[in-house]
Amino acid sequence: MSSIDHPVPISPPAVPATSAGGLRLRSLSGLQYLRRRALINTLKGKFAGAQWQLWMALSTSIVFWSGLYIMFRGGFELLERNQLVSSFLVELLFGLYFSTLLMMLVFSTAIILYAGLFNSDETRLLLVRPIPADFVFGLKFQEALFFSSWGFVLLGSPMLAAYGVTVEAPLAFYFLATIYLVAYCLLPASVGALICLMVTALIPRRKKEMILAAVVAALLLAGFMAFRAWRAASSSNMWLLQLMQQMQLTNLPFLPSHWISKGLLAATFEGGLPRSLFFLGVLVWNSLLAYLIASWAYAKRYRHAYDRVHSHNFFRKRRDSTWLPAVVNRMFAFLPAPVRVLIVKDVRTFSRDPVQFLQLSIFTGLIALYIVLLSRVTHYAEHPYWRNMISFLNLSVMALFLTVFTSRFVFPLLSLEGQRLWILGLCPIGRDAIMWGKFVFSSAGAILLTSGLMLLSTLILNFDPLLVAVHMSLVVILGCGVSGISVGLGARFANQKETDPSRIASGIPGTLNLVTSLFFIVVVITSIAVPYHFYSLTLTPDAEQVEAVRHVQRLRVPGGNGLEWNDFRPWLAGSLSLCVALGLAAVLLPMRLGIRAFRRMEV
Amino acid sequence: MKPLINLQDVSKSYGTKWAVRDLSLQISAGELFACLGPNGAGKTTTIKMITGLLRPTKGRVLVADKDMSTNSLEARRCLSYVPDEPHLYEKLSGREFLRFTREIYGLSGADVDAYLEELIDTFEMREYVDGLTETYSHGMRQRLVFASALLHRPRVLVVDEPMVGLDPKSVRIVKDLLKKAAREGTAIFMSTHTLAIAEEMAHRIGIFHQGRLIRCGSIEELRKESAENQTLEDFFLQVTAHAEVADDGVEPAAQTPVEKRPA
Repeated sequence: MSSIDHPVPISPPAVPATSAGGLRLRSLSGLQYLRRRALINTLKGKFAGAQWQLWMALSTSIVFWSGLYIMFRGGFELLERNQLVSSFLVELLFGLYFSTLLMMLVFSTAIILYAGLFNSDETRLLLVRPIPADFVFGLKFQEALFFSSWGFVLLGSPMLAAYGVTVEAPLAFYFLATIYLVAYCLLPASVGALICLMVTALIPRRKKEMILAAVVAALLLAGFMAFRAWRAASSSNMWLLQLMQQMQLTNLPFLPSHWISKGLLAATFEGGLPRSLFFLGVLVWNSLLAYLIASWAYAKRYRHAYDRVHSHNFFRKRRDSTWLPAVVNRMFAFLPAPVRVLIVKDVRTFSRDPVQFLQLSIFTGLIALYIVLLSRVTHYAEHPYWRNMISFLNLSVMALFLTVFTSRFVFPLLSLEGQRLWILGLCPIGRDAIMWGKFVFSSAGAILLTSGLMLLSTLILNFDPLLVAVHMSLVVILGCGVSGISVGLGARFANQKETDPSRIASGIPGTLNLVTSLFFIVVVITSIAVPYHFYSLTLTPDAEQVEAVRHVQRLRVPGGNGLEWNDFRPWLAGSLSLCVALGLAAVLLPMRLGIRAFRRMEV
Repeated sequence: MKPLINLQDVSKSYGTKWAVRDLSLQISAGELFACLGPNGAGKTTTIKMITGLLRPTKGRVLVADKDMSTNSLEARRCLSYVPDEPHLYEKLSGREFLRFTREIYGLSGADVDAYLEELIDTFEMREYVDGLTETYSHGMRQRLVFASALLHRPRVLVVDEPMVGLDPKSVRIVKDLLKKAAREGTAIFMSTHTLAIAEEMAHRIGIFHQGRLIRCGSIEELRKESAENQTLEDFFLQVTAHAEVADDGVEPAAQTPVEKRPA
């Protein structure tokens, strides 16, 4: 039928008159239809398209889960062998773990919800339709809950499984643990949703000041905690005791971390089921109540908050700062001028995105807190064996920080260019140069951030110059390596349709990037940590440890008959060379993949 | 006759900047109102207030006699909005998107299904309507959004730059659809930069400038005010330039909203 011959359709049917309750039900049915069809079509697309992505995600998740399980199992067995698995200690550890995750879930859900509810095209579409505000909230809340807590489940489940196996818990424990994890996620997510609403409804016009205040408050709190920990008794044992007492704060009876810890521990005993069910009931009831309150609050205030967020004066004059281009030009003088201009653009874009900036501040604050607390273990660092252990633990934390930094902020860089890719595509610079520019920018940022923290921690712990030099070299190798992986894979799997960086980072390609980066840092750190560990043993007068070194030597692992530094030098040199080679591979291979994809990318 | 879109002394501020000031405008059933104005004139803000995305700082917005601030759910039930850059669910097909709309508005029955198929034919979407919308071009998306906007027979239709990105045939379809909808009693608020479209289709034209409605009337009324042989484009440029001079304090602007009902 031609539209010209028959330009308009027949008279449409009238909209039926419906009660308010009926309207709500129909809206709900519409949203359920939307979710169902979108999920089915997405899964169909995944199975019909590049299946290797699915299998890769599945297999890496299994490997990651198994690795964590083995690690936790080893840890719990060590505690049990040394008869340290007391309910007091485990409850303390569970309390600390779950309360930390609680805080992280509150913030991450609040941030994801802000992007989803106040800054997305989808909500603009939904809000002009006759859909109740709390339904729009519910729809986006489900997404935020999933994106913010899948990592928590992936991380928490192997720990609980390992603990259950170690203490030979009954089957009911595993079943209950699953329900506990899901119910536990709902509570902080609902609190995060309320915080998000409060911030947007009350103070959207002072967003920057609000974020600054939040960062300052978080830093002050962290500083206060660090100061208390640092001022604690000078004897390390006393300090540890005091620290454990402070940790009990995470297990106060009105905290959800207390309910989940108590409930899970109760489920490990044959007769503990009723007690566990009681705590599960408390947790589920409170979680549902929190969600109900959040949903009610959004029903009442969401539209008001939306209006306030979008009613502030968007226009703001920015001073044309000259210092940033000057710094970039000086730092990256070896790069072509247009690439330096792109780096200035990337820095400005990043620094003017309050959500990304806040997340980076929280990450950095947590690491700084860790370093301050590290100063309390200098007692242990006097012993070569422990010094070595602590130093590599330190390096691992920095490497983990690097991985999170690049996965969260660097991997989405090319995807975020999205609809603006034509600007890059039409730039009078080769696409290869653009990619290398992004790599240099990412590496420089990552290395600058971590080397400062690393240097600070090595100074606090008073490491010898060789160890400092080794660690600083590794920071450079790791910084370049994870940047290469994230920039390369970010271009290879660029998702130009997604505008939310946290969703880009938590998708399947983002997870692949995270796992690849983690694999890289584990290999690099292990290949240096092992020879250095044996070297550190040569410095100890402990007979048992000397025998351990002799045992290694008998296995004809590098070294001669003595226990001298020279014995380990070739091994260490070889390992360092291996690390450099691994670093180069981590840069060149993903970058090659990414550059190829970027060359083919249509503008 | 009661107006279907009724803006009563509406103002909207973004911080210290007034995007819309003291706007009073009524659009009746069957009237197609075209809103013209340079960038930043307040057209989009007005649309956002009519559709309930933003609330007025002062005044009231009534859609089909329902207050958009206090009874927005009922008001939105009578309204459809076609934005200039339509958002679609990438993982839904066109037909699924139409069904989603059908569900949201609580429509059911064989006549609704027949009308849905009719819209698919009218907008010539049959070839691609079962493919995922992520594969659609801008024009295809715009057609789908129009079809979805008309599905529940809105009493009020708000359209932002309806012809942008459409090929001539699609433009013709959309123009015919808008005229037909107006004939059937829908009140249409259309924002456009294309003066020819406004001239051709609108019963009344409003010219916005710096948040104010500086001229309002039928094309004949605006012609009377303009010099002989002056085109709408010339008139538009003249009155917006005149308003700028007035805002600089040199000469006061004449605000001449002329009430006009469609024939």
